[in-house]
Amino acid sequence: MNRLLLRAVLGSAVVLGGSLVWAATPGEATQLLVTGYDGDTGNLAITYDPACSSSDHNIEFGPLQDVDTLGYSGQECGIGTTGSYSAFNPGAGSFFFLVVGNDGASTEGSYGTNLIGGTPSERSEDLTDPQCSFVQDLSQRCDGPFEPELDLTAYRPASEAYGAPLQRAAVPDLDEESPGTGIRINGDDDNGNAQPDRDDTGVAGENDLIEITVTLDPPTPAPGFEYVLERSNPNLRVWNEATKATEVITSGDTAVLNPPGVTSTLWVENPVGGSADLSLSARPTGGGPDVATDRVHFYPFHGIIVALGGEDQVPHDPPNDPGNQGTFDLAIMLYQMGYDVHMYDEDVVSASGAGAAFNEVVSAVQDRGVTGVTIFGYSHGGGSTNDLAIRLDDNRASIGTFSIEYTAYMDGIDNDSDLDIGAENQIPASTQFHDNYYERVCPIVVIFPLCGNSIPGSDLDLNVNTTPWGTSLGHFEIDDAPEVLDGILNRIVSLPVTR
Amino acid sequence: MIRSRAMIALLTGLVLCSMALGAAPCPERDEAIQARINDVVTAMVQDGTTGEQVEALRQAADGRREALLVQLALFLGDSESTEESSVGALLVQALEFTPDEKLTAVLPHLDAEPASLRKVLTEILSTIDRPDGGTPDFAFYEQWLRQHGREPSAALIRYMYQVSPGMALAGMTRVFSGEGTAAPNPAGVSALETLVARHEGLLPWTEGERADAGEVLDRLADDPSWWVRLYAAATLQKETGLGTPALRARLAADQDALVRSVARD
Repeated sequence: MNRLLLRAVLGSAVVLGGSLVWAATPGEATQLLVTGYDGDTGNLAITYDPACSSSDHNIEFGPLQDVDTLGYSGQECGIGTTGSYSAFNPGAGSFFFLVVGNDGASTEGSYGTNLIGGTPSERSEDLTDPQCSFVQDLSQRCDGPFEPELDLTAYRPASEAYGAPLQRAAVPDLDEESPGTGIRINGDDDNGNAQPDRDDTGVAGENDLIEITVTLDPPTPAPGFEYVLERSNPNLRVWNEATKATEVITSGDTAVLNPPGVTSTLWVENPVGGSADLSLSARPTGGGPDVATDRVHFYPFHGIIVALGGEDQVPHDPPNDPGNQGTFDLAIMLYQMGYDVHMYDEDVVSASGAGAAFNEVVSAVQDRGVTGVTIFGYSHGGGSTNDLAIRLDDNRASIGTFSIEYTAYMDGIDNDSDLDIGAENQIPASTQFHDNYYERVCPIVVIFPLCGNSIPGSDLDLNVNTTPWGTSLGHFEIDDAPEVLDGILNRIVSLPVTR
Repeated sequence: MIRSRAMIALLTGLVLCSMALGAAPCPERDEAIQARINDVVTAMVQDGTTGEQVEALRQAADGRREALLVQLALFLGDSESTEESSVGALLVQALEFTPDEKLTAVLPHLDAEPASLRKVLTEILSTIDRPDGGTPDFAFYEQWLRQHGREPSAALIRYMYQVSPGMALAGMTRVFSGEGTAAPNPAGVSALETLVARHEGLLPWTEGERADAGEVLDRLADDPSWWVRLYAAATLQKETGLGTPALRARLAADQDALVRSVARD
């Protein structure tokens, strides 16, 4: 009989340590030889090289006259994996036969390749299975060309909690390498133990790491290959948990991955600043050219953006009142574009400027290497923009080095209290660039109007009612006008230290 | 749309108020006035006009301006949109309530639940003590306290200490010590106020600063004057990292009910 090349593929799930793991399917058994014949019994002795990833083998046979159509008529089941078998006896007559690897359960691999007509093609499988039933699966054969599907997906940062008010958002594939993924320098102290989180492990409340999902298909590489996670430099550290319990890359810049499933989650930290790339690759074991790779670029945030809604506008993604809370629409867009955005109810800024927004900016400057602050707001959020800027400027010496890169009002109303209805009339303290969008067709009760006003000295001081697109925009519409939102967006994108 | 939202808010507010009975009287809704307020808001948002509606609102209140202000506070407390809260604020301003009217209207309900209503009430008071923002001026309240005394004004005193413990202490000393404007603050208060201001949202306290502040607070907590002990309790309430458990427990068991209530908050 001919030497048969048997290529087998397994696609079975096995449980290891309680986790569901997908294994590669068997390769083909090769080097099939008849090594003996027992004249008394009629038994043939054979040897073969077992198929990779196989747990057992069968012999498939049929009448020799049917070899051209692979007309199988019988099976010898469970011949093991030793590579030899001495009791094959198909009976009287002439037969063709071949050896097929299987997973010991239900899946069998390749029957080898024929060259009928000079074109290599997979031999057809035995569908009758008279003795032992297996289903062929060639989709992940361990000896096939190894072309795994790898994906590294990064997500936007936590703000303020992860998933609220801003939704967990994946960085689009097109942005993964350029501009990449923003990441906060982890110098703050989220667990309040008087130690910078960068020097800490097991950080309860840690919110500065970036989630990445690692997809490896198949999860176990073919024999001779390995999956590796590689950083371009130590500006990045990779952890198994958002709270920094177990580090993944423990020496050098590379770690071989043994994931528990197709997709797993890791967390990336930027301890001291600087950019870096993180790559996920499949390569020959021990090193060699990658057969597949995916890469994400990480850049440290040097800017922070604070978005302050109008009275009774509660930050939410998507906004609670779609089409009527443009401040948050803009904040969400900037967040998804890769800025470090924090959107707040304007009440978090007290009339003195103190509160959660102030604390966030102070922490960003003092602990996270941020040097540029952007603040914008609508109505009372505009007034709070000024209150926050004043407090930041007043406490500049204590806070550290930063500049208020950009501010914007959308019909800013002074916010000395929730009942304040006076137009905000100050340019935010020390701002480098200020845009003031206002309207004058505002509602008036008796003699009291509710609208912003001109603030001379603003870089843009625009009464939207004087524009073709904003003739009728009032206080309750100006913050939703695409022209206003685009104007602020474009300004932020054009300025240097907003991201 | 506005009307239906307001009606839902009315119902929600009723439930919250009824659940929180006990601390202070929950103001009752006047559905006729609430409907008029809603008319103003709707007209303003939809048409930008309010003349007739405002006049109708005035008439519905029938000269009971304090009652009208309470109804406006209830409306604002249930507000769920910029439109409602902004026009409500416009109405409060346009009706030009005097400080006396505001305090008379607000004081009986200042400790009432829900928190959203209490917030509106304190915002109304802030238009008395900080009409243009900045540092509070409690002169009007001091005059009120001289006229009405401490007991009917406990909620006002609590409010003052919440806004500014240091300014409230100075005011109480002027009103209740018998020394008038010549009354000095107790020793250590100025230094403590400076420390608290320096650390508001900025640098963390050092152990030494904590110890110094704790020492001052410990001494103030033993002061024979309730308004001084109240200052200690109010400061500890704002600065949760200061003071020892023993000091807090002492204030929580103070002989003065107002001090006790603030210390236990």
